[in-house]
Amino acid sequence: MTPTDSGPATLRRFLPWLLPTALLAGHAAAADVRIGVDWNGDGLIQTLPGSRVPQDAPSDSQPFVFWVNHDQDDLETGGETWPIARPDANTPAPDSSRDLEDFTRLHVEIDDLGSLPGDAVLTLAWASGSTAELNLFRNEDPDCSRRYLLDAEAGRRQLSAPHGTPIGTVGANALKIPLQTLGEPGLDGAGYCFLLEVASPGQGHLVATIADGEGVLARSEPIAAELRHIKSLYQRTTMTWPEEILAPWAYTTEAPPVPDLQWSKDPQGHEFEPGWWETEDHVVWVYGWLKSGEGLREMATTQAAETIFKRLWHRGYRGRLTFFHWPTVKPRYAYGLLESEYRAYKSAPALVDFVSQIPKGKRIHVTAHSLGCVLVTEAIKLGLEAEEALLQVGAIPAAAYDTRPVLTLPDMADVVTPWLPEEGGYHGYIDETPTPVYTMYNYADVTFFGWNIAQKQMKPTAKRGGYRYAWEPDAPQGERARLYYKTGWFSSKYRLVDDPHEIMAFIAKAKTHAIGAETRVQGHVRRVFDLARKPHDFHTGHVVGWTRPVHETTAFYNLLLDVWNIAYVSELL
Amino acid sequence: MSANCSDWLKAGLLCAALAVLGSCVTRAEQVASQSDMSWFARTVSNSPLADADPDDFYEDASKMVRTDIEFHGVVLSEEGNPLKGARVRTSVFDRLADPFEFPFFAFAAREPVFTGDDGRFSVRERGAGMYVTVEVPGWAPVTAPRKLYVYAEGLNQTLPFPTREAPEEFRFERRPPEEELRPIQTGALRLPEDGVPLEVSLRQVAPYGVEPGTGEAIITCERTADDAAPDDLFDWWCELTVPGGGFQPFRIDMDQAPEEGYVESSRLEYRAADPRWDDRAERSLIIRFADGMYGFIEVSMRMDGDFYVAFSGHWNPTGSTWLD
Repeated sequence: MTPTDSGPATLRRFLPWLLPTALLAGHAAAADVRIGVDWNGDGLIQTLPGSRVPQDAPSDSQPFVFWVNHDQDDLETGGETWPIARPDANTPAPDSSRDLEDFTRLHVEIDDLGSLPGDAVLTLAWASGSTAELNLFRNEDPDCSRRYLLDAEAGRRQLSAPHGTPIGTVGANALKIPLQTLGEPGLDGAGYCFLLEVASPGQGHLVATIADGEGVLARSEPIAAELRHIKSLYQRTTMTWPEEILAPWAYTTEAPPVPDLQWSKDPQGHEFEPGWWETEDHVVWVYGWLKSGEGLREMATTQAAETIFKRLWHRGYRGRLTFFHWPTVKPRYAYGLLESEYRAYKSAPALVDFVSQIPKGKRIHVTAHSLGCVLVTEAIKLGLEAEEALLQVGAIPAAAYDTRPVLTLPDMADVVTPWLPEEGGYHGYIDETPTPVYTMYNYADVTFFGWNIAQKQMKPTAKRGGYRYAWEPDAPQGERARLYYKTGWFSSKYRLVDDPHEIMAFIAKAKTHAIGAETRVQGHVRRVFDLARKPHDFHTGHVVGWTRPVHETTAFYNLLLDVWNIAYVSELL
Repeated sequence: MSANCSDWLKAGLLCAALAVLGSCVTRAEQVASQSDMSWFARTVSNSPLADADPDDFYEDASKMVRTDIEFHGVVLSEEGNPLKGARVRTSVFDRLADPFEFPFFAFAAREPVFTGDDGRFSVRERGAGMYVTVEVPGWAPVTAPRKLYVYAEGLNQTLPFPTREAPEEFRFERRPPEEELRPIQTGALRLPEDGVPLEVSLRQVAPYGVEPGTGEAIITCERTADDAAPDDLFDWWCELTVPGGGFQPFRIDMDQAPEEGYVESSRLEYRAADPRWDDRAERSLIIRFADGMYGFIEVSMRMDGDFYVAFSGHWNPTGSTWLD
């Protein structure tokens, strides 16, 4: 631009700076540029109003939201590295298909793109500064689809050059991209398709500008964005088992004390902040049997909970998600299974309390994985009220919900064990429920191999030090369940066990499959869903939903949402 | 009375058997997909490692994952002609996983290789075993396209190992048009209001429906209060119309769409007083589109919560009635 320039061309270059964009809308000569993001989570990006498809229209009060890529997804398949030594946002390129879950789409639509000069430059910048930083990549799909998340081949292309190579960063400095370096445009020749990853959190207004060597040609409306730590986007609670309360077999002359377990917020450094996007749905997800130990809850949060959150988010879920942690015992390998079952029962009142504090009018969906289903079962027993309870591969006998004889395993039919409810057994433990119950099962889940052995071989439980549970069917009613303990080399005494939780956890054997391995459950279960069959194909896996690559779990997360009667995005979108 | 000594032995054995339960949270070392692990587990299920002495375990298994692998394969058409450019993916069981986590090995995928003019490929690796997957775009496998080869001594070795002189054969045939089925996945289509029709596209994803008069199907649902029923129950109905085409119930023995028997419209009703009442329903249908194409669809109706319907299934773009 020189002082001698004049005429329509000059006006065209300066107009975007001189006038609000809206006033330029009718100016035929001015190129129009728009930034598009999937603001409303419907899988589509619609930058203009007036269509059947709602416009994605971020505003100051309802900004576009995404999360910082803070985890370390550098393993080829399966899991994540822990502890995080090198956050993904600090690496120059996405490390794995799992890393792609931390990317989202951004379009730049340019009207009359073909008429732009060859030296045109696209600039992306924060309009009035921001602490936020975005790393920008080319979307491997020129149609700007989300197939990098849906299709393994597309994901591989996204990880490969040139799409896996960052274009640059929008941060304190603007990112200038000569259009000719971007190759062929996408969107049918009307723009360019990018993916972004958030490197640093912050708020701001993202603006796209098209300029050439002589000045600005067009400038987009700003896009309000709020880029946050992911832990602020979903809720966590935790509970601690009192140190002074030992395992129940340690109490020989008196009944074990019952802990008054209370849930508390679990910010892990980042308080949960409800967002403008929240619907009336509130999913409460109860963990399964987590490893116990320093830092392992945080590991589970990052690797499991956050992955679940991301996958639900990408499927369109915009309700609240709370992960409910309870005090499991799992120092290593499989130690602590039965004690964890005992603790699950004792943790249930806290879940009921948590759910009861959710404001009226919310649609509450309670779900649990594996041993967490014991906790939810007990909560149902205590009167849990929710839209439904979904048991995912539940590690509790099917007979707790369905007492039909057909479920009894032939080799367990004659086993002497507390079985009926009055004996403290599992059979018919749930006799009524105001909450509809659904289960997801996988008969091939290898976990239930171990669970079956535990039922058959580890009950009644014997413990180091001479503690031994027993079931003595010939004793009078109420005196059959016992805990024997040694009082000398050749002498022992016993305590009567009358707490059904202690009986079920340490004495009662299951005479049916676990509910998560049983295809035929009816009774108080309204409907069952098969995770072994297509399209889920969980095979022998137990934790497939958050360990498999995202490309293979789309249908699973859609199924979750469908069970909750929550609308979800097409698997093709 | 003292505890039974065998209980402690059981406890030890249980540790190994129950270790699989330890996978409730992903660990950093876990690098195999479940399908790969399960496949390998089935193949080596008679492995002496399953009963291995833990003291010797690492030594034995460490040797196994260092086994030399030399694999030769050839990809052929059904007539025996070599297929060039077939994509061969391999994953090698080359590292130890958690020693208590059957089957003790973990695999790592390699960059794919492609067959040459003679249809041949070869792979040299080190590991206890390797699986090989062959893909030929546009072709369907005649022999198993994915196989596991166990090389480590002491496991169930896949003998004889394929050699340059006797390579493993993978045969393919041109994929018949019947197999060119296309997916139908509309996702959840929110219904506008009770009793208001939603015109939808099934073969193109259009989550907000399409303009009136252009849809492949029209669905209308309505919920009405039933004073005689409990508060949370209601009457509801849904009506599906396929303009110019039709649909009929799917039967499990159908692998092709029938030529006859289609209705253009039908209505499903649930009365609150019905003991089998539910707020959700599914129907599996064979559909004939207005342009004469056939498909299989499952219609999911969700009358509570977000009030939506969803269509999933597949259709045959060739006009064939083949739907399996």
